[in-house]
Amino acid sequence: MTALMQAEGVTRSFNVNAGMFRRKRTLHAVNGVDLALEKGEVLGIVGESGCGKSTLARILLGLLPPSTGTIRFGGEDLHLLKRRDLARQVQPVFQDPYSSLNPRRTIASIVAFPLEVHKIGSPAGRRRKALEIMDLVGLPARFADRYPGELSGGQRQRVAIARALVMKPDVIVCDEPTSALDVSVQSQILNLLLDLRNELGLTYVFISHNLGVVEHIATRVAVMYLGRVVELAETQTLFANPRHPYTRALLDSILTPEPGLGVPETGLGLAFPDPLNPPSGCAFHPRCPLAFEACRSVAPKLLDTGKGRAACHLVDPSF
Amino acid sequence: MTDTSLSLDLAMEPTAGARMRKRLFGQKSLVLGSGLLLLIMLVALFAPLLATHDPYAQDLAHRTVPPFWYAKGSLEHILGTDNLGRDYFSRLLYGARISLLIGLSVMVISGIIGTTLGLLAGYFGGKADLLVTFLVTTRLAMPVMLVALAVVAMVGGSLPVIVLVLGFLKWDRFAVVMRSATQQARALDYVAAAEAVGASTPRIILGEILPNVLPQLIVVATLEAASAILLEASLSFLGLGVQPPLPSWGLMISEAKNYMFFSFWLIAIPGTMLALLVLAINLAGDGLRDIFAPEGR
Amino acid sequence: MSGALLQVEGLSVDIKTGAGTLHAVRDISFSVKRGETLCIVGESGCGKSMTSLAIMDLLPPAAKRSARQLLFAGEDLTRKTAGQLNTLRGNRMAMIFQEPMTALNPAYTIGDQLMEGYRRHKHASVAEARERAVFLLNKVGIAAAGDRLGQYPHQLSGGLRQRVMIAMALMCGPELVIADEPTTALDVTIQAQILRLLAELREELGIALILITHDLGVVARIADQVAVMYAGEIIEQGGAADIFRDPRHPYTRGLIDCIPLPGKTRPGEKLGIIPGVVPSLVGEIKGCTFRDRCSHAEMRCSAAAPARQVQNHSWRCILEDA
Repeated sequence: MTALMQAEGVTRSFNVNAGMFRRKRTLHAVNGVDLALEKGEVLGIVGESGCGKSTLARILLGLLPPSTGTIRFGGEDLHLLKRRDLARQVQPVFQDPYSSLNPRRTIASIVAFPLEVHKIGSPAGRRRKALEIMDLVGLPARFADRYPGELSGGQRQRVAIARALVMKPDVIVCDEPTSALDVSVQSQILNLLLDLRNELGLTYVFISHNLGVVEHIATRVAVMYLGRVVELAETQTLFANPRHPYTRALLDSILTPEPGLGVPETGLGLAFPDPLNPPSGCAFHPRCPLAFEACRSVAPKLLDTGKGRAACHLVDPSF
Repeated sequence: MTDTSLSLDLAMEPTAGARMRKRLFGQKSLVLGSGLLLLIMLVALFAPLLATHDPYAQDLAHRTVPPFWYAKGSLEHILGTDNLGRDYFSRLLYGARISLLIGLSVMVISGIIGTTLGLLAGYFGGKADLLVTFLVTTRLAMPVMLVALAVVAMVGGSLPVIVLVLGFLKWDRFAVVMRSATQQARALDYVAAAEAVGASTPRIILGEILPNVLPQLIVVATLEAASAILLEASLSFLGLGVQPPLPSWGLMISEAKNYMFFSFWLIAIPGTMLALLVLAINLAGDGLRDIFAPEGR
Repeated sequence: MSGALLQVEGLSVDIKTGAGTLHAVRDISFSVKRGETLCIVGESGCGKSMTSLAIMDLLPPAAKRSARQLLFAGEDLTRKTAGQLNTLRGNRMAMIFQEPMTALNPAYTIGDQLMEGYRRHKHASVAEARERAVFLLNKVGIAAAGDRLGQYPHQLSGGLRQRVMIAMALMCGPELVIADEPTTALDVTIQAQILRLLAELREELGIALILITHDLGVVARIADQVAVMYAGEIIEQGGAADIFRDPRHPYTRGLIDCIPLPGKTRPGEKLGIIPGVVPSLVGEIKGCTFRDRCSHAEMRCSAAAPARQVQNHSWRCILEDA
């Protein structure tokens, strides 16, 4: 397998004004992430809000430059790629279909916009192409001249997917694509994404906080905590045998619609740490039920566990 | 229709055009305001055809003739004559040209300056934003009326001078409103989507952001046009605006002020027209804003 | 029915809009006992939030409520004056909202906000109110409660704010608590903690809890009774085990099929879907509202769906069984 996209030591920090007379503080939203995206896979990225998954998505899309580290696309440094060249290869689908479509453009013009930017084809040809893609994602042609405000949430998300597909990219970065939708619509969009992947051989980065959805769609999952990847494994391995205590807690907190099981106890305690002031050592140690002395001082590295990678001293034989 | 179909919601939705028409004409203030505005604009445009006399021709034998509905008035001078015997109706028609010209050109000049600054500040943020904010605060520290008076006093009053002075002074509200509207639009995902597609920055600003901040722009533009018309009238009233014998409404009020106790119509007629014009612009602006309001979409 | 704390019979909510009257809630009936959790579940626009606001009499001005019966602890809520309702609300019946950041006033400390209702309803002194607030903050799992009282909402994390909201709802010892999507804005790990907390408190304090949510996972884990709403109606109602193990209405079945079940749905397998969209609720509504999207629909579905009942489990559909 060949890595399509590769992130090496990617960090991204933001300066945060804490107050008029206080020192500016630095927020490390993404803090040293190494990831390789294989062709044809669905890489799920999960974690709680503030874990840096959306920032990572923006870096992969080339919308935010990383503070340090590199992203390579097909061996080429993302920095050196022009935004327009990158656009042919990576496209986004965002969470909120109400803000991701320009309300003043018609559906056909939204879908054809990438072609227009890249000056591909004639106006009539672009419209034909847009209608083709709309058909592919299950949007009837009569929507072509409507405005986003006239469509339902699920239909709008289909428009966003159509826009992402029209340039025939290799990679689609989906940032919580179904979390603003109702469950019955969510399943339609998930089915559509899976169909498109089979038909067009797409590669997805699928960011979500819904672990049930990630298990269904992803082939490999990265769990993020405070800007770091703490576990990375094939989906089945990760869900069957989580190695990091945080992954275990996340899996425990999934509420499947099965009556009589009650609400699980995650044992995490309350405090999600202040990302401006992350804990020493392993960032997860204040919430970890299995933390021991070394966790407070030494940050664990992402180690190979044989069936994946985990950043926890419990999987490190040297402890 | 028998209710045997399985369909529950087959009632045809109205077409987009029908809905747009309903929204447009459902707006009483817009219909009233734009109707009135259109009327004034037509009058201004066809002033040479509609005028019964040369607006500059003096006739000292017929000074301060009252309008036709007074006992002493006649249909020869529908709205009477002023203190120099010029036909008041014709002067009023030509005066509409001056007011509209000033309102429109000041709006365009200040609109271009303010919108450009606001869009740049809102889109780029950071240092660009700091610079624009600084310019706006500096501009706000200067009282429009005083600066305009000072400039006119130095270079002399004429139509182009008034337009330029007001145009370069009144961009602040455009900049402030456009800046915050752009900031809001900038944060939305469709801008990120356009960036991800590789669209250039000018294309994003002009093609994606500008159409979405247009409603705010229209509202500010109407307010500013109305306020420019009033400012011109004030300057002309003070004798530092449009110079005689040009028939500006403000100047007409100024010239009439000595006669207001004897020939009340001289001040009432241009005053009413000024109020009507400003009201029409504001009503139209309000109506347009309601139509473009995002909740209507 | 005896023992019901809240009994709702034939509740409807109509909203006047420019296009006509929107029938947001149509003739629904349910009841909740003390110590029991009723989950009202449905997708956006099904009228579940309107139902909760109607019970609390907090509907927006354009909305009109009508009900054959709205009994709270034997008293008819429809006959109460605004003043009498004010002494009930926040006192004997309380509400927890979805977004704790907007439901808490940012200008006051959480201590002020916790104590205000208690002092008004119970005519308590500051010291008593403070004691109660500290007690409840501890109860909902907030450490150093005394210090927290002086903090403002923005100084707390989302999970903490929702705990404060729960404590606030409990201040006056309510008999009925209505929670509208209390965990939707929270992370999954925090969601589990908040739900555990609600379940524990309900048991310990004998509260009747109405939980409004779109998340079937939450419903399955916490509900005793479930009411499934679609297009303003309760289309199926019953015990949680009945609803999930033996759903009778095609909509309920469709909803359950939409969710990927770890271990049951194979990864990458097609998920169930419900085609079509929710019908408009403006104007007159005839027949079963789900028939446009239903694979079992027949001609007779254009007439009102018959009510079916097996023991405690009721639904509205032509299907007896399938």
